[in-house]
Amino acid sequence: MNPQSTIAVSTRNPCRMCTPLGAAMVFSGIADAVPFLHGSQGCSTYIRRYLIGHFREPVDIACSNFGESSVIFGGWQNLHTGIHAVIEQYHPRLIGIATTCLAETIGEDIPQMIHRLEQELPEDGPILVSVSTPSYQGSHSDGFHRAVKAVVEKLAQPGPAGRHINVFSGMICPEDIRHLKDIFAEFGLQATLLPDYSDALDSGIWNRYEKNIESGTPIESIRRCGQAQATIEFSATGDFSTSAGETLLRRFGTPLYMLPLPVGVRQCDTFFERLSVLSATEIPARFTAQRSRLIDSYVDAHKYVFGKKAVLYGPADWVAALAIFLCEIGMVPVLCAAGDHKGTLQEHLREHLPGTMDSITVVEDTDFASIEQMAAGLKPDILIGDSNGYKMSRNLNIPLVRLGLPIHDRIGASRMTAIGYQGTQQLFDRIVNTILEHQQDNCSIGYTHL
Amino acid sequence: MVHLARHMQEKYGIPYIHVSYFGIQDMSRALYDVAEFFADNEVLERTQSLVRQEIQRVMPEINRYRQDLQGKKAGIYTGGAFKAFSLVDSLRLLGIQTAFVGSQTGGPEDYQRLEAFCDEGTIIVDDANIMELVRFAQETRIDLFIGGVKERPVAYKLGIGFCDHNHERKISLAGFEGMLNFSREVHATIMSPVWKLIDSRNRQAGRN
Ligand code: SF4
Repeated sequence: MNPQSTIAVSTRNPCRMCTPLGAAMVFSGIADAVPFLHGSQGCSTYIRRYLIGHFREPVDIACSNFGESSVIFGGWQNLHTGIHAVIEQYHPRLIGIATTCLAETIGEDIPQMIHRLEQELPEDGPILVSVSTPSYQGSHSDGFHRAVKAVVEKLAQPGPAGRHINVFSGMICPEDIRHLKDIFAEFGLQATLLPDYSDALDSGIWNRYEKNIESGTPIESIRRCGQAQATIEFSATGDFSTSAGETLLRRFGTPLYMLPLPVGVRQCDTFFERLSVLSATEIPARFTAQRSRLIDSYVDAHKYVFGKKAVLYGPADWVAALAIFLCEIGMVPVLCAAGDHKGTLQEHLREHLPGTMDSITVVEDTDFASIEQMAAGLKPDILIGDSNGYKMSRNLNIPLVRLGLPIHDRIGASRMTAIGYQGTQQLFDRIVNTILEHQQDNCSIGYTHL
Repeated sequence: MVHLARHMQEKYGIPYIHVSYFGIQDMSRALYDVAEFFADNEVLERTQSLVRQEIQRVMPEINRYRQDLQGKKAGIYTGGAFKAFSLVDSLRLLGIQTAFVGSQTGGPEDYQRLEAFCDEGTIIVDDANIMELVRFAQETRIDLFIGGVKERPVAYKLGIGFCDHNHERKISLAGFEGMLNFSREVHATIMSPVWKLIDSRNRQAGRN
């Protein structure tokens, strides 16, 4: 190794987004809740801009609008004014306060400020939940999980045990959320899915201007999380520090099933079998049929994908689930690059993909400049990840299957599904067709049948 | 094709030789036959060096595939019988045993020759329908079926790898390069992990 390489290199084109962005998504997915950023306005503008570009929906995020004086004297005044303004405008039942880099850097004592605010708010005033999300600690995905944990910590109550379950899915697209709700309904399971922005960030045409904060996970349901028969949390990397399920397990003894994201037949099987046990029913025929058709399509396409090399990037949980799915269909995830840092990705993949790790490079906490450099040498057939990888796709002339967040150069980010047999089917078709399209376009003959 | 060649010989006196361009053995034979026809030492030498070069080029990759494929079993059903010989031979090179082989249009003498050419125990099938082919495939527990595109979905439904061998193909199988393509495709379809997802009750017992 050349001695200079030990010198710290700045991040070039980060492979993640800022931490409060994830928290804001969570608060958008709670009924009658408003996301609120404590910090400067640019942060909320940046986050709104990305979420709007991705979801193509109005996104309201309030902000305490730090000025110079707040940086010097603290942000209490701004927070106070901001929260009162939000209450007046939106009449929310919950305000989710996420901190920005600036607020954290000046060392704002948010819990104490919330305490002060709660004392002066009326009995029926909104619940205030805060989450610490400086972007120099974690990624948008961490911010998301931390916000779910903060909400559960604040709201979950003890009480008589029920049959319902909690589901903390992590960051998935609105169509996947709807599909999950469908699955639970078919199993006859009452499930609290937190968050649920399937309407708030993917609604139909409005007849008049709306604030649209009513949709999302009901606050009452979140209160009952501590009484559930079990929690399912999608996380391959098993990070307890950001796990809401861990909170419920510790405080109420709620059994926690940390499952990989249900992508691909085997990871879906794990999920569906768990639901079958929890609901004490057989897996409904509709899903076994979906599973069977999915496998049939794997077979139909197996020669097109066999040995094809993929570069994956995004949050570690997603990279892990996708890598395992790709191996299941005969592809090789030559580079598994997580933009966030969990420290367990390598180990997780080694455990689930025995014997294949020789052909797989795993990196965490990486950026696009490094990913592109590595990808160039690996000569992959396909890239899978969010739109921020487009430059790399263009430079290397390797097709990109868009998945994750942000997707701001295509329509339908809300419908790019991957979850369940049904979502996997869509993702699988997209991957195979992208490979075929690239081959067809780059072949001099121009076959019309493949 | 033979018909055409015979016709040209009869009508115009153009001689022809009957060769197969499929498989390393047959391709090399074909080149030698052509060289010998011209009975020119220089041509013969150049042919020898070309064949040597090509074999050295393709064999390392083929040997790698053979390590995975050794002991696997295949069934072959082609249009004409002639192709079947080359296929049996090429599969042999990959370590794959032909469990049954047949054709639509083969005559009694083709089958006699086939029988002599194949290993002991290989079933020779004469003009079978799809039901019979399925029965053979299941009884012999093959890992690969070689046939026409119309048989493909049936092989797939039964959890059997497939390689088509007719005029509809897009990836060539002729020559040394074609043998590489064939090996890659056979390796891909047999080694694909997707078969592991098929319920063992659908898939014939005893295979993995
Ligand atoms: S300052 Fe921090 S919180 Fe604000 S936009 Fe930048 S990274 Fe995000």
